[in-house]
Amino acid sequence: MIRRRGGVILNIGSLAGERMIEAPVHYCASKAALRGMTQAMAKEVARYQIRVQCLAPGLLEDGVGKNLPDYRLADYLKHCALGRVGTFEEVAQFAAFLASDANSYMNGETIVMDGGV
Amino acid sequence: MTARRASCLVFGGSGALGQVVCRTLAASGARVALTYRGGEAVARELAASLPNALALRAEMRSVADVESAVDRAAGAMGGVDAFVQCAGVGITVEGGGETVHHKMTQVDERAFDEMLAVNLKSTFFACRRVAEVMRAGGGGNIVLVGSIDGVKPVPAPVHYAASKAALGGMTQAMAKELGEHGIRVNVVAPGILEGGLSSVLPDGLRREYVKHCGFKRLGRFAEIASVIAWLALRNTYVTGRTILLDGAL
Repeated sequence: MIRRRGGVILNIGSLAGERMIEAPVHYCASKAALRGMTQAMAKEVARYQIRVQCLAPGLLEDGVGKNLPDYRLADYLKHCALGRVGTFEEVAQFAAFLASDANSYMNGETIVMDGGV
Repeated sequence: MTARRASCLVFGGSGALGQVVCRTLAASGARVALTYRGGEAVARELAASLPNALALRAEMRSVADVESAVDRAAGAMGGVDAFVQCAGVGITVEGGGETVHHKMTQVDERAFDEMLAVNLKSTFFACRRVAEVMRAGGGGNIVLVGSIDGVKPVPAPVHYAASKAALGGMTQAMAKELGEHGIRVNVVAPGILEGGLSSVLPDGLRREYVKHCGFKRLGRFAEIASVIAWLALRNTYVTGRTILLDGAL
């Protein structure tokens, strides 16, 4: 990307790295680290017209969150303003926009997508 | 909600950013109602250039005017699927020239109150009214225009920064309260842009911004409008967020 003077890097973080929630500490730490890395990386490569962003979803319909105990899911739904988990399609649609040319001035941002937890 | 059928209300649609937002929404297939205060000619010309658009006069300092504008727009379009609040003010201190950065000592009670009335109070009452309309329609998206001044520690008029930062708190609480009705609320907070409210900034401040901005340039209205339009028309699971668009400042 540096050679061709442009590009987009989109990291997938997690709500676990942004909010104080009950989750494995090393998982939270790794996802929180993406925020710092995204910021520093954006600062370093912006001069080459490269954008670096982080999309941090809340609980989704499947995937990493599927092994959660039932009480954790119930707790999430209780505190989520939209009252439901996110879908892969929603995350994919947003990721596609974030990576698109239509999103040309956002850089170094971490955006939480959690339905308002 | 599909973009093709979406009815969008844009407060401050005659402003520099508001005009681009209206055009972007319309280009995505939305029907647009926009408000203006001083820019009637611009607003009417813009509305005439967009399919089925309408221009409404609204004074942001008047809660009655704000609520009436929401009602008129909802009545004309048969509801509101998305509300974008672009109306705002950057200077409320009288005098001081064309490029200003007012210090705290220059901000008297009137200047402080006016800043909060236009940027914050009008937004609250507009959202309150719009939320009623959206509830009846099954939900929608609210997008407020904040500012980097309300997010990052940058030199800014204190009352302006306060009014924009308050939008972030209001957005979080509104998102919580309105989520159960399928209404999402977010803030888009731009850095310094190529014109509009940013045009009153002293050159030194603008130079300093460009120096520290990763992209080494100001933001363009179209770059902000495209994010606003996505949040207004496509967003289904982001809510309560302030999204900063500053080119890596």
